[in-house]
Amino acid sequence: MEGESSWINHCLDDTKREIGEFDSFSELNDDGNQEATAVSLELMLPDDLLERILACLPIASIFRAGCVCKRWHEIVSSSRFLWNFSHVLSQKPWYFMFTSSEEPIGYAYDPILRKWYGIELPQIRAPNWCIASSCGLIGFMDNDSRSELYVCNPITKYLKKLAEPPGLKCPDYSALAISVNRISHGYKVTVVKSKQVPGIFFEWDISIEIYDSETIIWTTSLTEVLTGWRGGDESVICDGVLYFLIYSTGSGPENRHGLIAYNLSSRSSHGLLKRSFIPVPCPLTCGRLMNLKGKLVMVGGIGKHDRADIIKGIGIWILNGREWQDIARMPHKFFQGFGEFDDVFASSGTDDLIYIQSYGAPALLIYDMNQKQWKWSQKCPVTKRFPLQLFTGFCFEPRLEIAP
Amino acid sequence: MANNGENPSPDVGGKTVKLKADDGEIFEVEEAVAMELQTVKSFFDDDGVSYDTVVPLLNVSSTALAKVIQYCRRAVELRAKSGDDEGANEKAREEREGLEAELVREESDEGIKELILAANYLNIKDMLSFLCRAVGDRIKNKSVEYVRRFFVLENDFSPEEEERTRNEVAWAFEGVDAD
Repeated sequence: MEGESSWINHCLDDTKREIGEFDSFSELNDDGNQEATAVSLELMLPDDLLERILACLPIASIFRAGCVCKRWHEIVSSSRFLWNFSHVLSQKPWYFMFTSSEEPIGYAYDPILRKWYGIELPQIRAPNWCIASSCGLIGFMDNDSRSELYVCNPITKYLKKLAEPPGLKCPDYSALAISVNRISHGYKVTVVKSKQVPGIFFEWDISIEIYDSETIIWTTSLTEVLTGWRGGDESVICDGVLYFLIYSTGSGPENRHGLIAYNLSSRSSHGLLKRSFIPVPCPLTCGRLMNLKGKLVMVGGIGKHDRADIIKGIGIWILNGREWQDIARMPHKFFQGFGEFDDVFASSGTDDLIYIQSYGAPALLIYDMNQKQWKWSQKCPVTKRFPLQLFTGFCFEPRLEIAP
Repeated sequence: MANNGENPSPDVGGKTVKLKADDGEIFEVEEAVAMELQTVKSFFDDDGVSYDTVVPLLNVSSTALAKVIQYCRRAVELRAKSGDDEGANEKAREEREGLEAELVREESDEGIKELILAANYLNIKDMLSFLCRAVGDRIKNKSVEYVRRFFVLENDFSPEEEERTRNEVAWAFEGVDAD
């Protein structure tokens, strides 16, 4: 077997036995003689075989496949195909970048095909809405009254409006998170509201509201007053635990950021949030939380000790229990590649990928946790039109089979 | 009948099985290799079928069957090489992937379609898996027209239907390879 250059020749020599008068003209030559093949090739693939091939395709290709003919369109729309597809390993997450500061328009980046797609997000009215994603669904909430909440699949556009969350009206800060159960397709949405106690500037009312898609109701899971700290708009759910960043209101502790780890199945008890506090690993200029394969990962701007609002680098940490572990530091050349880097930036990630994007430029950097590699995305097809234009974005997993 | 000496079976004089392609050509294969083809395995799992019976594979051309046998032979060898040793396992896996890549690289579009149908009919799990991925790779960034030609399919949409379907997912048509 070793050393053969063409195994086709080898096997024809060794195993072929002719017992009839059939000549070899039934063999197809490699140039694919169309006439000869049209006869033997009613290579009509059976449906289940076709489904297997289509399931290997990237999402955009599957949509194009639905335009090939009626039979294919039926196949890719069928629930059988969607169910089989759901067992395929998750597609690498896309990053949607808003390319306008006012209109909710933008492009979604596919890191596998390295392409930007001009997809439209349903219902969302402005780029500053709170957006959270999990396993193919995104939750988004308006940024004014913070009372309008939707859950949708951004690829298939199926959308559901949720009832207004209970609790504090017009909070000063709201953090939104969503967690989808991959098996049941049920999901939980959480809103952490922070409102300053009237008249007492360093005391903040915090409430945590949870929506369960199975019961279709909101419950107020906890209310507590924090002293010297307030909530913000950064939160994520990992494995049944809601993590959210809190910010010091005074000039007190050195690190102005802190983390709360709140188990969603906790029973409310006095002072629970204070007991769930986890300090951050160093002074941060800003922190971004994400769920990477069930673990909490934070991307943070590293601030100088004495001037915490000056960013000197960007770090990535993972939380193990209550301890942070260093994962990576953005290499200097990429940091410089952003040009002017604000102390606050956008970052979002899921599965194995982390996206980092400066608010000031449509440049997108990707860190692959698996390969431990930093890479720029393909250039986004948009340019900055005026100096104060801001870009922001979020990442999501493109899936066909999940609907709210 | 041609003489037995042409059969290369590298083994130890183990049992062999005879497989007949659609044109009547007979392939004699080692039992272990033949059992990679689940269809063949089921044929013999039936009570009372002797191993001397020639298995009629009416839907498989001799070209395809020859390639299938060759692949399965190598796959069985490689599986024998891997064991508890991680290094050996890794090496065997790499060799298998190399084997798959080689098989796929040399095939024309017609050839790969024929192979995939053969692997499906013969029910060879691993082979079917990588062939599906290979076909997927060949078409993933191609235009709708190219895909129709590849699978020899008629466009049965009316012009209005086609336009409507395409518009629903207009974004997916950006940046497709030129035909």
